[in-house]
Amino acid sequence: MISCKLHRTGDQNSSSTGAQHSSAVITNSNDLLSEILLRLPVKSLVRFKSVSKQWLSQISNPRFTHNHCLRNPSSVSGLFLRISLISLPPEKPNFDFISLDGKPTMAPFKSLMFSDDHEAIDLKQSCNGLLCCRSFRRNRGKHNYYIYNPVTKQYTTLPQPKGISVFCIHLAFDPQKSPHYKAVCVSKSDTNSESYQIEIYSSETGPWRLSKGSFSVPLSLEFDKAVFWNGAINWYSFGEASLYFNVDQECLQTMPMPPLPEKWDTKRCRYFGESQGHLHLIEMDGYNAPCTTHFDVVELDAFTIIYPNMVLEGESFISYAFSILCLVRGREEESCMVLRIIDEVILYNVQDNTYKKLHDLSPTLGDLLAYDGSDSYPYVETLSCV
Amino acid sequence: MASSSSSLPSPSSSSSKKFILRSSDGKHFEVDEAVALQSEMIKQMVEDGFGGDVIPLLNVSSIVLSKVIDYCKKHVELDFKKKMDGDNEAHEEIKNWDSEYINVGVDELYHLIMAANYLHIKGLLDLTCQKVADIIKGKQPEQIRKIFNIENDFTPEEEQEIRKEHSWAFE
Repeated sequence: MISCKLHRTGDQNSSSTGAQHSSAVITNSNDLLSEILLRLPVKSLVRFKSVSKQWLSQISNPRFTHNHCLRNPSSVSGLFLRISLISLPPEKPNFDFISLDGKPTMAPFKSLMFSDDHEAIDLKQSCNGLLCCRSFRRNRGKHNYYIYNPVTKQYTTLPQPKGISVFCIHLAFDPQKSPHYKAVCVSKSDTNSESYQIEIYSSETGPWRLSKGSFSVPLSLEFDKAVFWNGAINWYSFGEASLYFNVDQECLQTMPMPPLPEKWDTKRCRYFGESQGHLHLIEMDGYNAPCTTHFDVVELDAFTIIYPNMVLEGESFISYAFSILCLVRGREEESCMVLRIIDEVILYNVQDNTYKKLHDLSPTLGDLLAYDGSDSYPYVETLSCV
Repeated sequence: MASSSSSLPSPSSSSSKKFILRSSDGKHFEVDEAVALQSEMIKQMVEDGFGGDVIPLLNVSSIVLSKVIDYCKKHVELDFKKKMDGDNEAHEEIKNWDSEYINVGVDELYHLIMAANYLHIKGLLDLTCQKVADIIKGKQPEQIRKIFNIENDFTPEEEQEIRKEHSWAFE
């Protein structure tokens, strides 16, 4: 039985003893401690890992981390930008970090290097807080793939898929649905060199498993441009149709793509990404740097144009050499776009037509970024285990 | 306990069933059924047929219990009002009342957490735990140890390593 005496005023000594006693009861109870910790932001929790062994174990506990994810739906708080100095050996990608709140923040990492592999590591995909990474070089003809949480610094090396010629591995992770993730590997079919096959790896049940059937792929499909949305890996295609693979049902379906607008010669993907449960595609006319500042954003699930004729105007926009790094939907209606214009990164508020500078890129590095935004990866703070 | 001076048609009419709660220091509190049943623990006791005249609450002192009853009474009243007047206004009133109610010192907060946990009053547990979270959110590990009276059981090397690994969280 706990005796609870309250001393609102007066007797200082017994008051602090009472408080010490009851604070000990709270922190000694894992349930009560967890009730409090569940309400803290990720950054505080990472800092509080060094309070004591009990706190460290509580904050690292997979059940706690999953509950924390469910309670605190993730949102994009920053972007990693790959600055690949491909021309300079050794091939080691470096990353710039841009905090979306505009405050200077220490980067979670500048380059990726996992301890048992002194190879340089490249970033392939960001999916609700977890990153899918790949060794830069091949080892016996094959890349190593890793799943990494930049917040907890925890990583796991995926086993090698069975397929001989691997095209891509994508991560499928939705902490609101499950604490486990799956990886989807597309490789050349073992039986028919003209077609492809899919293998699935689950962090819950283990090894790679061949999903039924082989399939052919439209030539216009770009394996590199894939987004996990609505329980499926969605690939971009500049043709009339693309494909998506529903990961749980293991079925491959056709996805119609927006038709080529009149007066356009060709179209090129400038952004393909997911935010708050919506899949966004931004396409532009032609293959060169855009010669327009008006563009439409198509929301693929509804096929509606949500930001017609968005106009970018500013004194510093000397040319239209810009790329769309990220489209972040707010919980309400407001949405923002992170754009790179020459060597500045700006946050553009789509609703009220305002913008603010987030970051300066060094001019030489700015030139090395891809124009289609494919060098940009959202950073979402989560405690999810890998 | 002073009765609430609400002019609303109150769910706590004199005809409703009463419960008597006994605190750890032996004081008796008469409350309406709806107020007592805010506690899942008491609700469970009643459902299990523990229908005695007096419900002993061994872990809650009279000072804390009185404060807990304030919370339950107000929430019964506001829940009733919410049903009558619609959501928005009552929601705002609950929010304001809660933030005033929880504006207490740290030791009182700890006792309320323990009582809310023991009595299984979810709303009060949410409110008190959120308050503690708000207090400690921006603090450093050293301050946390002091607030909760926690002994640092890491070796200096271990602590150094954890801090180094997560240096971005310390700026």
